[in-house]
Amino acid sequence: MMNCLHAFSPIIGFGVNVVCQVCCCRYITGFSVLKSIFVGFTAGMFSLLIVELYCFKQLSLSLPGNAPSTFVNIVTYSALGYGYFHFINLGETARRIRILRELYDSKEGLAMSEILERYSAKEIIEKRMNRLINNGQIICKNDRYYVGNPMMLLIAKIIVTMKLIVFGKKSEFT
Amino acid sequence: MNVLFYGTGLIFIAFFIHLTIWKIRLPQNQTKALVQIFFGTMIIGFLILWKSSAYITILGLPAPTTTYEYFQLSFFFVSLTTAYIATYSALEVDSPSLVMVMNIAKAGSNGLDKNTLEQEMSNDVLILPRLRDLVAGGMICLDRETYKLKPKGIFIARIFVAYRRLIGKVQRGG
Repeated sequence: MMNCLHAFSPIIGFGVNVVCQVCCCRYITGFSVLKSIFVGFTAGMFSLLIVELYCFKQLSLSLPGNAPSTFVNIVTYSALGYGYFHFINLGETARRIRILRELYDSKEGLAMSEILERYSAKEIIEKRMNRLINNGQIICKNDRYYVGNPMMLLIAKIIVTMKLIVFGKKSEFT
Repeated sequence: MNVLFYGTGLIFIAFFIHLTIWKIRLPQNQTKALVQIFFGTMIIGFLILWKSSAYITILGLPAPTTTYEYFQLSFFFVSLTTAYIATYSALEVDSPSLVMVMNIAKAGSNGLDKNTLEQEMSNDVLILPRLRDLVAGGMICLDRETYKLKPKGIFIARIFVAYRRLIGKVQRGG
């Protein structure tokens, strides 16, 4: 039973993560989605560690001898949390999902011009620029943009490197 | 330790198969092909480990034997696969935010002016390729110059509409 609990600890942690994230978003006014993701992830990790410690105590196992098994569970939980973050991010920022939603709300379908009226490149740039400026990734001075916090630039470089490894090219348009 | 070792090994094998296939020919439906490769590797790998566990010992580490170990191994493999597939969707297409940051970084200390950014990121670059993706992915169709949702698109749209309703967000993403 304890072995089973140990094997399922990442799933328990992930459940706690999702419940906390949804509750924070839904019931705490002014709580941003990003903040709720952090809170959910931390709560889930905390639950996972409690379950791990409980199992070790019940099975009278030593922590050093079973550290790799706990590491596997921490990696599993983190990967699940990362996947969930991507799912939330899709709903928040993905263009394909936004287009699907526009079409979902228009039962008769939409012509190209109607889609562009509801969702255009201008809106995409505005929304993303606001997000980047609010997060301090980009600085705007005299109507010109500069890189602020280089974190996003680092992520962009990692993504470009991965694109080169997988596709052998830097962009979908090259 | 054996779960960590054999789990990581199977992930590397699946990743190697994926890269090899991608170098030979890019599949039409890349996400579907990734799912088939990773889950196929997992099932075959598990069968080999399970059937030959008495004979397999690599670097002094025996193959997993108990049901709990296989549960842990499958959670580990599935979570990392999910995380990779989620990341892959960001590799497949150029994220506008990352392209913006890269363009601003390229402009260097002079910064990038707003008009140049808007010219570089038009509807042709940001919207039309995503519409084409949705058509190719069988989520929408073009019926007499009107884009309409297909059952697969309705299903995906409903998931995101329901989730955003659950977290109490009414405004659309994008």
